[in-house]
Amino acid sequence: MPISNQVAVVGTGVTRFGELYDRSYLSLVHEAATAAADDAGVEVGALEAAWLGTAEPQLGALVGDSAAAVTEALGFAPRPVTRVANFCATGMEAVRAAALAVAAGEYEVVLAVGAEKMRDLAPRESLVAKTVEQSHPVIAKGRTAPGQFALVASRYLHTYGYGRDALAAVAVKNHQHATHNPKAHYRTPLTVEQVLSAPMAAEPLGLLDCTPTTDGAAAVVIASRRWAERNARQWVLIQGIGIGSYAGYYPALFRRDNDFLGFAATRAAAAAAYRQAGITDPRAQLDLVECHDCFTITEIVNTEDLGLFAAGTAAAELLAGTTTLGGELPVNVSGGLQSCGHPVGATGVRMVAEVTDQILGRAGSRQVHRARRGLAHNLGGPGAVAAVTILGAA
Amino acid sequence: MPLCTPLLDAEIALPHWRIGAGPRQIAAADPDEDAVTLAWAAGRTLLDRHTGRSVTALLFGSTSAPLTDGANAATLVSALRLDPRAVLTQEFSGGTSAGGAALAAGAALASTRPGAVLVLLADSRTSAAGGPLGSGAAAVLLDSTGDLTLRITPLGPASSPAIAYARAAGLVTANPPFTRWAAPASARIAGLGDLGAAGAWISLMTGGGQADENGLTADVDQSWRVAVTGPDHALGALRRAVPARRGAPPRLSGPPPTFRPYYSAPQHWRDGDEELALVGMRCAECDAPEFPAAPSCPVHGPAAALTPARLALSGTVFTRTRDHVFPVGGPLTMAVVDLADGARFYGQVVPGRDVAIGDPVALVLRRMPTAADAAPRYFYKITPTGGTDADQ
Ligand SMILES: [Zn+2]
Repeated sequence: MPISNQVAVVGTGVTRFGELYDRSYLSLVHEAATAAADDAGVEVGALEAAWLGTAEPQLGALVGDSAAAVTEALGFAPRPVTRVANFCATGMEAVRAAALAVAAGEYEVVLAVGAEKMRDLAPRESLVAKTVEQSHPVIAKGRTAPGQFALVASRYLHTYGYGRDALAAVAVKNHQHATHNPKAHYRTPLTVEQVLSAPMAAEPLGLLDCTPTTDGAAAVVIASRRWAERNARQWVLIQGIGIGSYAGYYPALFRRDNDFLGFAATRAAAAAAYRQAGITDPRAQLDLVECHDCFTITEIVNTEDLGLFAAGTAAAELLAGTTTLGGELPVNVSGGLQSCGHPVGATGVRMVAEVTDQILGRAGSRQVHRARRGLAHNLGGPGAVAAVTILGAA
Repeated sequence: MPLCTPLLDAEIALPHWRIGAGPRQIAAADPDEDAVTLAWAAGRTLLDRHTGRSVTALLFGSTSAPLTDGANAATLVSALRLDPRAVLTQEFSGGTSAGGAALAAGAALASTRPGAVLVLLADSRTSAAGGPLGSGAAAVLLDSTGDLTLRITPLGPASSPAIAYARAAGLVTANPPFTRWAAPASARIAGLGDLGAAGAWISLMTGGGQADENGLTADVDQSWRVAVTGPDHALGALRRAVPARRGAPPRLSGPPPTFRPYYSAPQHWRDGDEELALVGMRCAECDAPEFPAAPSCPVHGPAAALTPARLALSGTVFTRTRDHVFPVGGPLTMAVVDLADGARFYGQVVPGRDVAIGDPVALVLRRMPTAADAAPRYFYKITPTGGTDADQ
């Protein structure tokens, strides 16, 4: 059956995000999953199946290479477990897989959990090593994560005439938001001057334009609407959930139709999710957005790709305060990846949990006033894939 | 009795940098250049003037060949977009007379085989202490249709002094097959330095040799004399001015000792020729090639009619960044290039140079970072071609 308004998020659980040297991968999975189950008012033993999102198991000695890690962390045997991975959209992919299985009618209540243990290695041995050492011997050699998004930033600033201060405004806004999020990796406000004077990572992106390398886990309990109406304490409905793809890992930067001003995968995912949710004017019909902001430029161009702002105007809207908490359409009130960090598999699940908590009115001092419908967006690879979830009040 | 053969055309390639001043100045290569990449540069320019001509042999002469087992010429065949199954290759080394020996063998081959013979002479030499001695390359195309005549005369008993292998001096830093050596001085070319196996030919084309009623002449390390005779206009077309450049090549941070990039011999065997020839794909329904090649057109799907397509090697910069994070050879300038054929390229800008959006650029063969004890891997990097490049 069509998924829209038939599947609910009935519980959320998010660990602290940060340099969690004292915490193991399995303990993070356990904490997030049991917190989500507690929130849903359901025993872990009553969850019928689980989907795990972990992008880079090799960062943690292959723990998380299969969803058997969920079995181990939760005593889940003999129930079915599945690991999914889709670059940095891995977390939302886990939510989508769980939601589709429920929509298919096979299960009534299941778990989606995302976790990443990135700080057991130094950052340079972590994702940098992936692009530097594990990538193709010659094609795209020299690529790094900041380097590939810097190509978008350079093109955006060149095309629309903005300066680095427009990029910095994303970091300043999201770090200000994160002062209200006790689970964020960074909870200290930043000034534009601090962002602009940080060491350069990949021009025009400085160190404070980049998400940190972070440990963390997040989980949601997904149930059928029927189960939610009978059993849940409070819930939100998945109005739409879409994935879009653009190109493989290497071709994404070689494709001649890539304008380096945005991401076709985001546009495809948004179109699918909006169609399911019946959204025709997202800026007017959404109350908040959690948008992938692995780098400052990522939030700017993706808010255009999501149809919130016209091409070339997202930076102006940002500078005018449109996307600040209290503004017309707050973006990343959690602090985003900029401040929460980006434990890859956990991020998309954390975003879904954040929008759920906002719609349920339990987001504390970062609560968006009268939040009834929100969007979560997860980008993977250099725009290779993207995921969009629309959540609405039941 | 000289060995004579018709000569069609020739070209030289010199690196960007110059160290020192006056007659002691030398041409210095980038850290990612070597005899193979310099030979490629000379050969690419030469063959671009003779597209469509069938090359049936490629001979490579060098005293500083990166590999000692003959794979350098095979790399050059692929990177010059010749057919590996149809081109005879041979390498010449062992002393600076390798340049004359390669030309003599080329002359012999040209008289016995159909098609053109490409002789590539290149060196990028360092002293025993590792300091640069000079770098450059020459490419000579021998073909029966040539207007010019190449005469190669043995000079008698004098022959190249033996290479003083660094092995004897305890300077070998890597296991075979990668041998480093301290080369004895060959004839110096004023302003360019000791160019080894390429020296005589570069001297001949840049005016360092004699030019008289006997044509252009140069001696190869007291072992061979090469002379080119023919009509004045054709001789004149061989003369090259040496571009004046300044500055020392950048020093790159080497790979960290732990740098172990992904490497697969089967992958190299399977894809190496297409990588070196920069072959993408062209869909019958699309108006430009795509790179890298894939089993489907990204627009028209798996049923599209796809054929291999060699990408254009020039274009303009679409976007760029300077990356301070990549831990090898950085900071690196990375750029996306709109190629002249409509395809896109993404890769490194050559060391020490920079580009801005809109700049004209070319793709050139360079060494890519590999583990310290791994064989060199070659691919394309981006170099500015406009007159006002922003050198750093
Ligand atoms: Zn096509």
